Amino acid sequence: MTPEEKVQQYLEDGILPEESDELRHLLEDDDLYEAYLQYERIDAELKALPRPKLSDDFTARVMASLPEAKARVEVTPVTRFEDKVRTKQRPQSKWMTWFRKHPGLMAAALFFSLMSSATLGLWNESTETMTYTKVPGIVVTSNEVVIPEGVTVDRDITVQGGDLRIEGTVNGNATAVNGRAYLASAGEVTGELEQIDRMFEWMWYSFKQIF
Amino acid sequence: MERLTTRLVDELRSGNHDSFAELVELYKDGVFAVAYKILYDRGEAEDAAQETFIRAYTRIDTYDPQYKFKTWLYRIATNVAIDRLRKRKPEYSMDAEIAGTDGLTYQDHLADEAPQPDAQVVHREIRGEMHEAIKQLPDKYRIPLLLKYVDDLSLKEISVMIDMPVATVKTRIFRGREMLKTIFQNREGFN
Repeated sequence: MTPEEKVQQYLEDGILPEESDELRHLLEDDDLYEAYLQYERIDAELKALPRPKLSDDFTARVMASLPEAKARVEVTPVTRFEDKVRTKQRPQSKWMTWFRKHPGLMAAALFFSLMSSATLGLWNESTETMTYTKVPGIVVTSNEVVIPEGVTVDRDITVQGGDLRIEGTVNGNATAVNGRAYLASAGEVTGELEQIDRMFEWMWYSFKQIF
Repeated sequence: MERLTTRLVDELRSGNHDSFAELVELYKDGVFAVAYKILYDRGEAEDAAQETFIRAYTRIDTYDPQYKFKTWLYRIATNVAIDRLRKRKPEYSMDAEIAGTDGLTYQDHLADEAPQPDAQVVHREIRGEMHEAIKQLPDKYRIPLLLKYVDDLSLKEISVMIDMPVATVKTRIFRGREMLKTIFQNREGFN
């Protein structure tokens, strides 16, 4: 610290020349003594600077401009700090507060519930009616799709909600969802023969179809 | 006061909107004083104080109770006020000097509308020598120096508020006072 800064520090700490040998010694210098007097005066003037007052309705204005202040708060001038300010607003429920605090979690939960209900809807729908890949030459009954002997299917074939009986040849994958896949001794599948009758398997299968 | 504050903050966090009015009552003068020391304009300081409380209300979840609420709040006030100071356009300030007129301000151009006698006295006090000298200080010295004169603020608290090391805050306060002294020395009739 420069001698001038030391002088400022003594003033700031409220130490008088008669209380400090070092300060007394510093002030023997005429220039420093002059500086000391000026700092003393500056300090006093800074302390005495005018303090403007806030408007009386400040608290009321703040409360009225809060983003979630739905109900207007009646602010009566508060004389003691402990005085309760009465309001008409109901406190927010804990649930809503929690909701606000964890938007990510809530979004994930919402996504999951919508997604699973949509998927379950599809699952239920698919079990009620039979759907199948339309291929010329196959025989379709109310709950069974048959590829007769001598018929060759040159593509993948999928049956949902019914059985798949293969007596001919499938040059591709054959899949039965929520039904059985029968391969007759004369039948042939060059790809995979799959039978899906569990929901999760079906979901995985649907998922794979997307890619 | 600390215990009351802690209780009020807890109540606010658990959704009690009313407790915020009490917090505003407790801290409004301090927040306003901080904003005023930085902005040096009553109206702007009041707007800044209001913005400070709105920010504090919306961000109450970010307050870490292991620190003093006052310091957290004053830090917001400091940021709000400094933001406003930066956005302030010099040409809109009535006290700004008109270029090339050697100290003439826009205020001097206004017709005297003969304010109330009381208001006149206040006006003269505020526009005193010290007020003029303070306005000549660069912000980086003026702000720490004036914050030192907001009640009870320690160097540590000021350092948190303006985001600077304690040693820097101290140096700037000393340098600010020294500059005031130089301004007065260059003026006749100070002593």
